[in-house]
Amino acid sequence: MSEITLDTLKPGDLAKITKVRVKGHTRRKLFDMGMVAGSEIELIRKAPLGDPIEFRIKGYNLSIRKDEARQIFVHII
Amino acid sequence: MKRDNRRKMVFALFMGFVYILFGTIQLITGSSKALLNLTAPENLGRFITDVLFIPPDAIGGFVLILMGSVFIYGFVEIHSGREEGIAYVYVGILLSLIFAGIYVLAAVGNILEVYILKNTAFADWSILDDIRPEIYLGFISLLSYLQWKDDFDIEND
Amino acid sequence: MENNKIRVALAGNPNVGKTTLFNAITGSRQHVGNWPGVTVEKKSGTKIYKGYEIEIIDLPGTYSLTAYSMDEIVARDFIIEEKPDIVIQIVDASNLERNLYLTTQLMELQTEMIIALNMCDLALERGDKLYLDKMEEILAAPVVKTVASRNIGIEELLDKVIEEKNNEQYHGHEIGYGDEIEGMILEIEKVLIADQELADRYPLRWISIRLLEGDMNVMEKISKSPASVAINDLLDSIDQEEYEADIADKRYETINAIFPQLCTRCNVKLSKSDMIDRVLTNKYLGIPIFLALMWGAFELTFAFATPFTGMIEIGFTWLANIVADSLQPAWLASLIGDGIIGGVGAVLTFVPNIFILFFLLSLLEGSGYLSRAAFIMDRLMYKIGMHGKSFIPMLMGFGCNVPAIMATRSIEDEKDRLITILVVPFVSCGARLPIYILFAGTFFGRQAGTVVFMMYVLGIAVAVASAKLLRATLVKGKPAPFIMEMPPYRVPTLKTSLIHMWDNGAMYIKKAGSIILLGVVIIWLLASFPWGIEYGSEASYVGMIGHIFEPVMEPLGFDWKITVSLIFGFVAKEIVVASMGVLFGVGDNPEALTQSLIADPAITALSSLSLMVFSLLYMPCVATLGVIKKETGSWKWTLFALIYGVTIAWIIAFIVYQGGKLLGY
Ligand SMILES: Nc1nc2c(ncn2[C@@H]2O[C@H](COP(=O)(O)OP(=O)(O)OP(=O)(O)O)[C@@H](O)[C@H]2O)c(=O)[nH]1
Ligand SMILES: [Mg+2]
Repeated sequence: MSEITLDTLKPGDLAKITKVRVKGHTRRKLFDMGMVAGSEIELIRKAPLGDPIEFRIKGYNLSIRKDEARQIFVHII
Repeated sequence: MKRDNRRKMVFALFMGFVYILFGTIQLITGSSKALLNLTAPENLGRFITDVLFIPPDAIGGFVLILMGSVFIYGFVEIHSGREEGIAYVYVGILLSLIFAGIYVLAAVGNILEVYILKNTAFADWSILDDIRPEIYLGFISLLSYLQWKDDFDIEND
Repeated sequence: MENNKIRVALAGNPNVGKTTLFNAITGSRQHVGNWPGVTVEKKSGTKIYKGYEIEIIDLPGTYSLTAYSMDEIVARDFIIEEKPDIVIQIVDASNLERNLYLTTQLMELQTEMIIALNMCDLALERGDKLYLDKMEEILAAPVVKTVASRNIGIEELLDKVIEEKNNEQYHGHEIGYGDEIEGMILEIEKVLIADQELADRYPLRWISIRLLEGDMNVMEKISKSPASVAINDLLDSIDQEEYEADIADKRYETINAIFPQLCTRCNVKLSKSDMIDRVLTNKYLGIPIFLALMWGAFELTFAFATPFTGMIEIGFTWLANIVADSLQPAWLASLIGDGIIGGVGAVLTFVPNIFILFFLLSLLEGSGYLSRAAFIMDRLMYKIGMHGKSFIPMLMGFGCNVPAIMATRSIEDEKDRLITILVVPFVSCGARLPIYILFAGTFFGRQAGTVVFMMYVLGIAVAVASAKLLRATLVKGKPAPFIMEMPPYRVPTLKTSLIHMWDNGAMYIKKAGSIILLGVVIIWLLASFPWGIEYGSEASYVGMIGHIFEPVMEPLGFDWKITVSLIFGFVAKEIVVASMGVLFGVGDNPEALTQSLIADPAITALSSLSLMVFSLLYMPCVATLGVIKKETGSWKWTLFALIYGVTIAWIIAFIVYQGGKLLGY
């Protein structure tokens, strides 16, 4: 099971978060929104211009930019 | 494929084709009139405005083409076996209802001008002037919406 | 403390229905919308219920007790510092897991808590099963099912409030964080206990956990405490980032563990909301659909309003005729006819447009499309140095700039927020609409619609360009990360939209009856004096004022009358139209304003275009400047907004007018 970053998922891919490497303020904000290790996350769609990306996590939809997604590690399940 | 989806697919193809065709006419007549002050040859022009009720309106034409594209998108998706394609049919119908609503209200506004305000600028206005593809195509959408409205959820099997 | 008074705070995640519940309980009409961050200030109301006086405080939404933006700070400070008797946490039943995260934090704070399980209708419709008894047992708090939007469960909730009030003891329940963290918590608690004052105010366990998480706000609280040195030593010994992650993990782990006992969820693979989104945010169709919807809203604002505008005009003509025929002396007839009916009437004529505009904006807000607009546009906004979330205030600005600027409070980053505040005034608000309708309608005939639409586009374009300029010069830096919840689409409720329309429309009418009326009377006075001159002539005071500024405005194609109108329009932009009505002295026949404008050789199609451009951009109205001052807290930026606006307006109007002349118009 190889670790990849969140932004490399394709629509419909389901993955499990292993590590959040985002720093600072944003890190905690992401935790608050449910982006913690162990959470299941599905990529729903990308915005028309490719960024931001919408995910489904903890039963709701959350969108974040690629920049942050790149620093979140997951493995596909 | 579920039988109903096949019907939606055919419906999407039909609506997509008609919306794009009418939209293109509307866009071309609208922009040539606005930019070049050109109008279509007499007979063709009469056919377009009096039989098909397509007013020259560039932006309106763009909107029609857009709605047609949504339907066509749905057709392509369903055709290639993706059930999610019905989402496009659903939204296509919603959009055409919205725009039908807008132009029906605009027509109501004109009716008020004529019958309540007796505005002289509307002396030779007739209700036919306000009929446009958005309205009568929207009517078709309304029928199909009533037919299918509980039918747009994709359940997990 | 009197015993029949209860202070109750409504807390919860954004967009779970707090304000809807607040309105349902207190009968108020606070702003409701289907996107996170509608409420940005705390609002209070009272309800007398079974002999108790219950004060309810509606708070902005927050995902946790860590605050990132101004609105979240308001919510956090209220809950932590003001210690309401009871906190009702409104929990979205269709989105339990994330909502319970805040619950775990409130439990640690040892607040007296009631859980209102809102949006039960959605959960039921989807086929979820909710086990209330289990929930009450596990969370150790009363749980009440509500559907705030349909007034269901309100009485039960109030009954629980009273019950809870009379039931003094706190029944707590807390999360265990595992040996390592718990050990650390204990150590910190041991140090903290020395600070009696702190220990009296907050639960020590809560402070300890917050410190381990690195909560800035709590760090500040203890910085003055005698225990602070010892605490900092302790905190330095740990890997704070690890702890932060572990604590959040543990909270969600606990939620995961209890979740199956609270609810069984029925999964629909693709809900209606997902289906709609699939299309509306489609790679190729998303942006065109957005533009088409905007165009549709715009068409409707005009097409449907015209006959109603006509009816109002007829009413005023009738009124003006009566005034002209029967009022004596002549100066009074002039004041009422030329001044009040001509001026205020000109403004009131556009009430139907304003009503429709606000109705449509409310539909937009209620549907949930605003969040999608932010999602679709974030990439573009990022490129010009703005934040996707800034797009929401900008769209709201089409109604009125003042609430739009308030709405920026939910933008986390200070710089992102400042830029948004500074560019929102360029978004064409409802008050500018009458100016366009009057002049475009008069001079552009069939092209009027397109001209007005172009004004809106120009406003947005200038806003965008200004943002880019500001990022490159005064407010350097990159937009902050975009982290936004996307709420499901909802069918907007007719009631909410009608209320929104009515309240904002009424505000417009009130403005016409107060500040604009005042402005109109002043202009009339200035136009009538000094004694003996011809009304509204160049010899009047108005004429003198106009002549002072005329040289600056002449290159834009404005004569002294327009100049005066623009000067007074600074108070409220509707006054530009009102003062036209006054100065052209057409009180006895509003429709004649159009004819007088055409007849005036100083006003041509080109100069009226230049005038529209100038009025769109030239400066935020007084109310907007006030709110800019309040929100930025700086006179410097307020002054900047004013000067920058006038400069830009002058330059663009100059280009339009002189360019048009060169092209031979
Ligand atoms: N179906 C359903 N919708 C609801 C219910 N309660 C509120 N809503 C809708 O949920 C949306 C959000 O409502 P608000 O009251 O503005 O939410 P809020 O919690 O005050 O939001 P913020 O101020 O942004 O934090 C609105 O569209 C409401 O119409 C409910 O019980 N059922
Ligand atoms: Mg609210």
